[in-house]
Amino acid sequence: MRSQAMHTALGFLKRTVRAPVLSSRGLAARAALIAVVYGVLHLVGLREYTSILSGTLPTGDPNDYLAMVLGVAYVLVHLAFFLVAPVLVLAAGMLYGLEYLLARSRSGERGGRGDDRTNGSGA
Amino acid sequence: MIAGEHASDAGTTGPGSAGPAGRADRALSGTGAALPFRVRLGLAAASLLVGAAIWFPSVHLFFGDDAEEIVGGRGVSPWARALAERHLALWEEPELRAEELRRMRASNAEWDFMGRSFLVWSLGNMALRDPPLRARCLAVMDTIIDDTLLVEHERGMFHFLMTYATERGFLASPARSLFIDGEIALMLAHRRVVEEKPAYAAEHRERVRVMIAQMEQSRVLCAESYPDECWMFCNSVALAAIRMADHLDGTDHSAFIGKWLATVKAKLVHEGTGILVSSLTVDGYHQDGPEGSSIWMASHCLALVDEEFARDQYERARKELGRDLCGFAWAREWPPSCVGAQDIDSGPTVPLFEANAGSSGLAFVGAAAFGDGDFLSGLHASIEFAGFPLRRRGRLKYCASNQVGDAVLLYAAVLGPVWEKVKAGRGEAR
Repeated sequence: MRSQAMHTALGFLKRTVRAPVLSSRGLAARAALIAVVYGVLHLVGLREYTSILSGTLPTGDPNDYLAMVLGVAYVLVHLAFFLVAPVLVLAAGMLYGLEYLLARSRSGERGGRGDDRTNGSGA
Repeated sequence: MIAGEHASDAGTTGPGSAGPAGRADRALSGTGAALPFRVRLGLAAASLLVGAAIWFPSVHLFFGDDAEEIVGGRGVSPWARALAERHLALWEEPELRAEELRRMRASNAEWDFMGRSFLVWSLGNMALRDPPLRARCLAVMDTIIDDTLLVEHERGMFHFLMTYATERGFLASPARSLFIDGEIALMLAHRRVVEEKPAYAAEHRERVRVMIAQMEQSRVLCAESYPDECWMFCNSVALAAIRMADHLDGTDHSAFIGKWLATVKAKLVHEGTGILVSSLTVDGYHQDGPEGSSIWMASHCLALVDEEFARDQYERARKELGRDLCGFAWAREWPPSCVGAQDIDSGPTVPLFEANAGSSGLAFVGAAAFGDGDFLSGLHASIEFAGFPLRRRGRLKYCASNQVGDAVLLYAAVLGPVWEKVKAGRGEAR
């Protein structure tokens, strides 16, 4: 039971990670990835490195280029988390709905043609 | 496997599997035939556009506050208290201060000095807003003032100036910087308005005497902060300190103040925008045009001597420099019609939006001083979003800012009572 649940979960994760960008799952996966990266950067304390934006180097060393890079990285991921990820989530929801509706309407069309063939064959 | 289904790039891998995952996958492609790429692209693009149209105008709701929450009515707002706690800790815990100063001075020695000034001015206003805080505020104000005077005495004024101050000689002899004299004078004045201190009174009067003497040597009544470099920010601060001396000591410098105002209105206003220029030579030659990191504070200080002119300056600056989008606000450093050079005081500017750190921070002062609630709320939303606040143990700092930047924000949140007291007691001597 536990291994089946684990298998299902791993399978879901695998499909999610491999999901193409232009799909609801793909968009949601990218949003989740941004959130995870942001969480990690925040937990390791990189928020303090954003002091480079005020021209104050986080370590006080004017040659600390790594600190500058880390600060810039945090800023970019922060912007992605608050501006990009929510849009991806909203879009994923809408896209899921649209895909579902489109798929149902196609399914309805094919079901109709299939019934005709079936009826035609006398089965 | 259902006939016609296949692993496709429409997010339908494993559609033949049983259970919810499989049903979801099948739902994504109906009978399993992949949606054409163009259809998927169109659907995704439309979803993203609609998502952005919903989200972007809403982001500010997660970061903004009403102006009343920011400036706290008659008391001290929670936001201001949290900012103040961190600054008070910096002055009450020497190791913390030393580390902060080391980081700031690595970029700009002025920031050490201005951090002190803005904090003392803030504490003066806080002491009047919230009497229970008075004793603690006075103690820290005295610590800062005494330390500043001691450092100036031991290391000279150049300790607080950028290195280019020594590249050539000041025109005034002996060399004096109005940046240093003016801000120290205003610190002393704030302390005296809260509670008189005779030692500071003597120092305040002497600074006022020196400043006026220096300003009178100039054709445009403006004194140097750096060799042959006069800043409107510094001259406005000096004027406020002189006005406060009149309130405290019963002196009358109204003739000088009137002459100064007439001169700057005639000779130091930028033609295109009507805003006071930010820097000039002692002879009155304009060096830099109207600059955000000067005019917001200058207009606030000038409100003490000419309310109407000050408000006009603020409104012009608001129009030329203030910007807002989707509930966020910021300020340009230069008007579009006269873009100048970036300097260390300006701080970084976000391209495309032309959002400047120095100007946006000082715009808080202008917005709070002139009751511009909408602009203040928008600026607050911006600093909460892009200033990277860090709240720990009741203390607040903005990681993208520094000690002086946070001190400016604190001042904006608490200003008012000192100015009101001086204006109400016009001509009153102690």
